[in-house]
Amino acid sequence: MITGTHLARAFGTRMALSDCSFEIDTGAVFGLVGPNGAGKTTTLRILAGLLQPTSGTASVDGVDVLTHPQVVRERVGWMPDFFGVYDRMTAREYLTFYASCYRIPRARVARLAEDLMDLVGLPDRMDMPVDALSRGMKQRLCLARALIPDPPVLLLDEPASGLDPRARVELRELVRELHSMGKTMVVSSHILPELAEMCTSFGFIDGGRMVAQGTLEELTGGRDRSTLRVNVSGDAQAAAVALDGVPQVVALRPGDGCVEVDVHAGAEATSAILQALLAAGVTVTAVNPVGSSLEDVFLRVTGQPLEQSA
Amino acid sequence: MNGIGSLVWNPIIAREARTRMRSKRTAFILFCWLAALGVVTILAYASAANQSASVAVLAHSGVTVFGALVAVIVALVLLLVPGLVAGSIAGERERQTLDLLLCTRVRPWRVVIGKLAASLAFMGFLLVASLPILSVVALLGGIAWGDILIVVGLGALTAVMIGSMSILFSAISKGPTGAIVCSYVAMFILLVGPLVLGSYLLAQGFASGVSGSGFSSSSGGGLIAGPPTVSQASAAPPLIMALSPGLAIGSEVASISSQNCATGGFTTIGGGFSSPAVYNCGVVTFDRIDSGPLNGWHIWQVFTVFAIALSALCIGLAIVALRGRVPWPRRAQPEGT
Repeated sequence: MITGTHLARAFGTRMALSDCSFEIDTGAVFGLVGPNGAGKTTTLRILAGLLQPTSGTASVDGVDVLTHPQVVRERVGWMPDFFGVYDRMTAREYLTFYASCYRIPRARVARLAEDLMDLVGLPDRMDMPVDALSRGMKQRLCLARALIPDPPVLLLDEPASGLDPRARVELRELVRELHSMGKTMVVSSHILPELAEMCTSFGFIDGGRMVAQGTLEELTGGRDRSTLRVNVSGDAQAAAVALDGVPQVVALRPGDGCVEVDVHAGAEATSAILQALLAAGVTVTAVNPVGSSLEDVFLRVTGQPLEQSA
Repeated sequence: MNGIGSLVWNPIIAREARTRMRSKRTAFILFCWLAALGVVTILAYASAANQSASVAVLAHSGVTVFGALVAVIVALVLLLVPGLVAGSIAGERERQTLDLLLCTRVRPWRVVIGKLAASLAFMGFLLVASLPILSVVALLGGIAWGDILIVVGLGALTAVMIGSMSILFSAISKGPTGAIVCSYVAMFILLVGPLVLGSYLLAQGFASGVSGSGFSSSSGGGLIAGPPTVSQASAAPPLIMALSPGLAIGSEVASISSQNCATGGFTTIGGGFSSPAVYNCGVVTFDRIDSGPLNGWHIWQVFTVFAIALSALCIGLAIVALRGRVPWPRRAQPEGT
């Protein structure tokens, strides 16, 4: 369990965090969402035991970050958004160095380094110079470093920034694997779609305050409608006729080869639409939500879209 | 790991040493270092041998070569140490690896000591590499091992002192460039400042007729004084001047040179200094404080106390600065828990 209670942090006269409270369940993958400058990194640095809050309290894995910051630092795997690597070192030496910094017994270090490189998908880069690795590989190596003390909690600050699409997919898979291993993770980002696919719960932070928090269902539960785009082969007008009268459908907008359908929120809406179209003999090629539900929630709670805020 | 092993445990030293030795710059520094010492040795010996063919002067050539080597080594140490040390912690901060290091079980004091020790170990490596050249002095003879050890010790102490100042600037600076510039400026002030201030005070005292005698730099690295004149000396100027590593090492080398010519007890030469009463080498050097609470102390002894105190202060402040980077409980957690 990770908690923050009325956290505040000032840098000079600027308040980076003000009255920020949240709770993260053990084993959750918590997406910390907010525009640049919202207070994501400040929150994570406080949770990592690297920054003292001006006021408020926080605990990580049951340990108070104010009274036992050093214990917290050792129980947390911290991956900053920007980080450097040492020159003239191989990945093996890099991990070995940090393992020795954590006082891992020398007999275990070699095996541990190989296991971690396997886990992050870099087994064939063990003896490659660290500064020659790509940005995505360095991210994964940094994640392997964070996993050296086998921490129960991982704090990942903008882990996908600067990664190409393939590296983002690999990172997402890695986060899922770590989640299956029981790690509690806090992942910050200002790019919602990448978080939506890897997180089990979310917190929206804006202007230093946690403005909303919960699972996707909890966050979208207050919304009464969503929009689906139904791609069909053939006449979209026929599809619109078939959908007219379906109880969950609120509005229809037939287009070129597709119909945008506003429906009442809920899992049964998609099922009802598909059944109606199949009954009418319309061939459906795809059904996709229009826009991100999370983006809609963010827009609703902050009053502005995430991209605009950033 | 427990006991001594736990105390000396410092993974930073091994990492720094490994990565440093892989750098092309290291090979370049080693080449330049040995080349400079080799050239100076040859020139100093040739100069001494050309002065006279007499056996007495040739016997003195070992001292000449030794003096020249010490001057070059000290100059190189002063040039290299700030550059090696000042960028170490500031470089970690610039690379944004310092937080990653402080998240581990490595405490700030180990970071400071590890960075300093790794850089100074490299200086030790350079000194070891120059042993074949230094052995020329032993071949030529004329210098006692005890004197050599004192001079080498003073050189090492100078490196530690300059390194400690540099590590402090490294710990408090935002980037390596600022730390390196500040370290060189501080080194220059420490080298020249005490001499200038002491000279000024001596000149003031001389003008008021209290004490003093005219003196100037000698080519042998030490300050030389004119004819012995005044006995009522002020304690402050010599004490201030003794804080300069240049004077401490220079006076010791000059003293060795003088002793190699002749000896004859100590003579007060004014300005708060006394010297071996030697004249047949053409110069009179001073190497002792001759007044005040430290009356009778060698200059190198005064410098040693000062250097150790300044080093401890700088290292302590660097640790405090680094500790301030991350939060700590009021009562520190036991290490390794």
